Amino acid sequence: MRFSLHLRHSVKDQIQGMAKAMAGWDAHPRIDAAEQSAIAEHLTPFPHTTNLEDQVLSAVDGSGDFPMLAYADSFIYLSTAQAVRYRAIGNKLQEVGPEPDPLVDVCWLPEHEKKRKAQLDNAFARLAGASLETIIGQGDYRQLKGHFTGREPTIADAIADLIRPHASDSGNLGIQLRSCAELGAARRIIADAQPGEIVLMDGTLSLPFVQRTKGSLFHEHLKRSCCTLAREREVIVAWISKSHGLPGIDLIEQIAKDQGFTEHWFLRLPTANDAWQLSVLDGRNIPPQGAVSYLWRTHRGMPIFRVDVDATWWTDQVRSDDADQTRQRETKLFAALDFAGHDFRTQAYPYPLKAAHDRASLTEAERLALRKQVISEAISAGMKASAFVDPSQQTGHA
Amino acid sequence: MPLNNLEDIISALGGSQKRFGVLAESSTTQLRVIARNNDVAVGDLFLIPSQRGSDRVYVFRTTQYANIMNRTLEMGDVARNKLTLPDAYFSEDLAEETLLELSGMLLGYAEIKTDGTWAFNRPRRLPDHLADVYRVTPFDPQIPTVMQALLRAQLGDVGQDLVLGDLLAGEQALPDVPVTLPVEVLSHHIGIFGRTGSGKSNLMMVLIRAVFEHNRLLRSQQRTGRPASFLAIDPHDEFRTWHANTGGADGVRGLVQSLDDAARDDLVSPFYYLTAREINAPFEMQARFSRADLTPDDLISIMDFSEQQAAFCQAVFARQGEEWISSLLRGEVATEEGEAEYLPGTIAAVQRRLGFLEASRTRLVTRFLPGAFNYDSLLPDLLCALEQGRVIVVDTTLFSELEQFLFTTVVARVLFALRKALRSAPDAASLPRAIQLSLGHDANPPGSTGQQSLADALLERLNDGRLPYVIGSSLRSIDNLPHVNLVIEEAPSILNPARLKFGSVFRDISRQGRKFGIGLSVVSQQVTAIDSGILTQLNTELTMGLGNEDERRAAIRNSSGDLTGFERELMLLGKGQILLTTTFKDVPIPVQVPAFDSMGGLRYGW
Repeated sequence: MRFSLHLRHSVKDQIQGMAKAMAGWDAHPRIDAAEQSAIAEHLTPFPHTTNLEDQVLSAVDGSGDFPMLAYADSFIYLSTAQAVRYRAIGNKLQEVGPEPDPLVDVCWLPEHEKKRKAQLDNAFARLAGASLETIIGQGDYRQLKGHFTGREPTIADAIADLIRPHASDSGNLGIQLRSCAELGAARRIIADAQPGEIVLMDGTLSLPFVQRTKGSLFHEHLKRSCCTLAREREVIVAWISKSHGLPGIDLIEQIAKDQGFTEHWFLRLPTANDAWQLSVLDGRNIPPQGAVSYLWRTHRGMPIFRVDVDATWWTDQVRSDDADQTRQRETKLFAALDFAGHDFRTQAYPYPLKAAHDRASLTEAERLALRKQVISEAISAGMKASAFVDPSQQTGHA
Repeated sequence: MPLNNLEDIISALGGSQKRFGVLAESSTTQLRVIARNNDVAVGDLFLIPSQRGSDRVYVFRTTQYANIMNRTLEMGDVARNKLTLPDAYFSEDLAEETLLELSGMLLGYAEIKTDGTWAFNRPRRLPDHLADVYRVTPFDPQIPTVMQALLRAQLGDVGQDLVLGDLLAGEQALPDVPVTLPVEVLSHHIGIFGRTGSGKSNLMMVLIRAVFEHNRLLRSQQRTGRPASFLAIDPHDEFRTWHANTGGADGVRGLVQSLDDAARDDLVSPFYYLTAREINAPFEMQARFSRADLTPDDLISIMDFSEQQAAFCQAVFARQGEEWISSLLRGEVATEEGEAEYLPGTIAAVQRRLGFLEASRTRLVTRFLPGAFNYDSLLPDLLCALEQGRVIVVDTTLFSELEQFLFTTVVARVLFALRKALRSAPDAASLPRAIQLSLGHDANPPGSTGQQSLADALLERLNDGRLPYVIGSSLRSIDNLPHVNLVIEEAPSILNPARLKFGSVFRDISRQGRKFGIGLSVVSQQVTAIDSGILTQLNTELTMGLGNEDERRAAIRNSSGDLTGFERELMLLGKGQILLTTTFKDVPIPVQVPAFDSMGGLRYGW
């Protein structure tokens, strides 16, 4: 692209127009006095937690190369995920060994319809660590879908209706494969966890297709499968998102400040079942179906994070008819998360998640080495080296 | 244990389990190594076995290092978090999180030869990607064997060379990995640079001892080659007794006393120590030169003379010969018909400059006036001693600065003249006249007096064999005479650009001395103050810690080896630590010079 683009009038006008629209939307007042009062009432402080004994915190993150190689009508996708496990020992975390093996999957997808589907389903199963039937049957995604659409699909229908992108649709495949890798690693660590362990995931518990009558993503099923398994194992799974996805958050922050909470507070976002509502949630699937969401302020200066937990677990294990008891249980979770964010390699962000991210990330050198390894093996297996010549590089496009 | 292949070397280093780090980015000049969190120092040595091309072991020297954290890009962010996050902690991870990033110079590589030995090469190649890196640890008993196998040619031959010290790895010397200099280095020019307190005096003692040892081993036929002579100027009268008076090791005196009588006759006689003091001890004498030993060139080399003043001195010397100084000091400067007239101011200025040679003002130079004050000088004996292979220490504590410089200058000039005469003489019969002419004395009409007395004294010694230029009826080749090295202390005073502009005897010696087996050791705290013409003629530098950035830059610029990247090290070098660069070796070699006190008596090697 020519760097002078931003100097052109048409481009400048377009950007100016967009900026005005952004500012207009952002300035729209959304929280009235009654709502402010409700927010203030539900904001809950928790203690700056400098000591925690015997709490195990695990975390999972994923990475990959989407695609790592392309040739003829075929694409090769690399998915990786890494789990880590730490135990709180008083004033710091100590990693619990042995480190789980990294989850690595190389998936070959040709454009051929049947072959692609089979290959992708195999990759999903490998990443999940169980067959599609098992995962879909184990999770409660179908029930959630039935609740919202009035029609609960069978396992076979769910499998048949899985959304399987084309082999060249690297954007969507990347999201699906990486999510499956992360959730597959999470499922493995949940299966191995002791009761009370907290498993941290990067992202949200959103289920984008749950309200549609047809079609679903395999990782939606896998997500709910993790929730179900976690409930069975008495394990807590928390999805932590660095982006809360809400407008007007500064108003909520101001309310917190007015209450004297500059840091260390959380706010459970209301659902339709709650007696109070938050207008900023209008038109947004927050909390996601089957989830309870919190806004979470750790230390001042840090952005507000969003934390999603399984709604069923929350109802069973956190919610109480006694509001104070509910808050006590919530506080216990956020105190543990706060403690986990005190490693100075992160800034008030749970360190196990950072550690998992760092270990799962692939460097460019690692990507290159793996690409070369695949090509080398393919040539050894009888393919021609010329099949792997990258036309983009040859033509100067890469 | 045999070290005939790469596996042997890796095994001797402790196997891959003992690797210290892994090579990251690399170029032929700069390497980056990611290493375990250990206590390292700038200057530490590392070995990198590699199989690219053939079996090779690369030698890498750290010039800087940094703390890094595994998978953490910005240490600044981590530090900021630690400071600002209340009650922050550092989790205990299973994997090593705190690492080091070393960067430094590739010194070169050793490559296995067909005979199973290793040849060292300049850094023209690179090790494998992500090669394992091993640390050269002083306490590892295998390290000396490994280093000697890999660096044999660079370290030198202990059996034949002058031992300088032990190979330095970081802050510590590697015991039993001695670094040597070939004896030939003495007939080349050496630069010894270091700030005050860097250990120059100790280094001189170690050099003196090494030359002494060389001559002793030659005499006992334990090594072959030419003898060596070393004229060490000692401005603090340290070298003779070193620390004996305070309970430490004895100096050159101790070395002399460790010899038997016959060895002393062969290696020490007639003297090893000259001083301005009156002295009465075996082989220790009062230093004295005669005014007849001096020429205008000697004086022009050590002090400021204008062109007119220099010309006037030359004119007086041409007319009066060896009596020229006495004539000038007595005011007998009348010119004869046909000679150039000199202004009274010029004459007075020259007389003032020569004032330090008045009998009442000098301890070094004796009067000379035929009939009244005969020729009285140790110079002929000193020259003969140097031509026989001697270590001679000259205590200059009671000399003025000018006398000290004059001493070195006269010896250097006359020795240079004698060797040129020897080279120019077609046969033994012609040598006496060649010597006379080299000293400006021509007995044939119309003739010139020149330095007749000095010439006569030398011819007398030539005839009785003390000046060993003739064997039987044949001339001796200069290539069979000792390597002679003359130390110039406080070198900037006489080797500065202004002094070398014209007439300095050192200008010729610096350019041609090597061909005549005469080398200079230029000792200085400053590199920048030395004339660039002299610096370019140095082909061995023993560079110690230099505190000034300009000096460090000059040392690197003028080095005989590639010292690029060693700037910081030249500041950090501790007492007795030197960076050896020489055309006799392919790479700069860090050396820990041992304390002379700790070296004991004379023995083979250390």
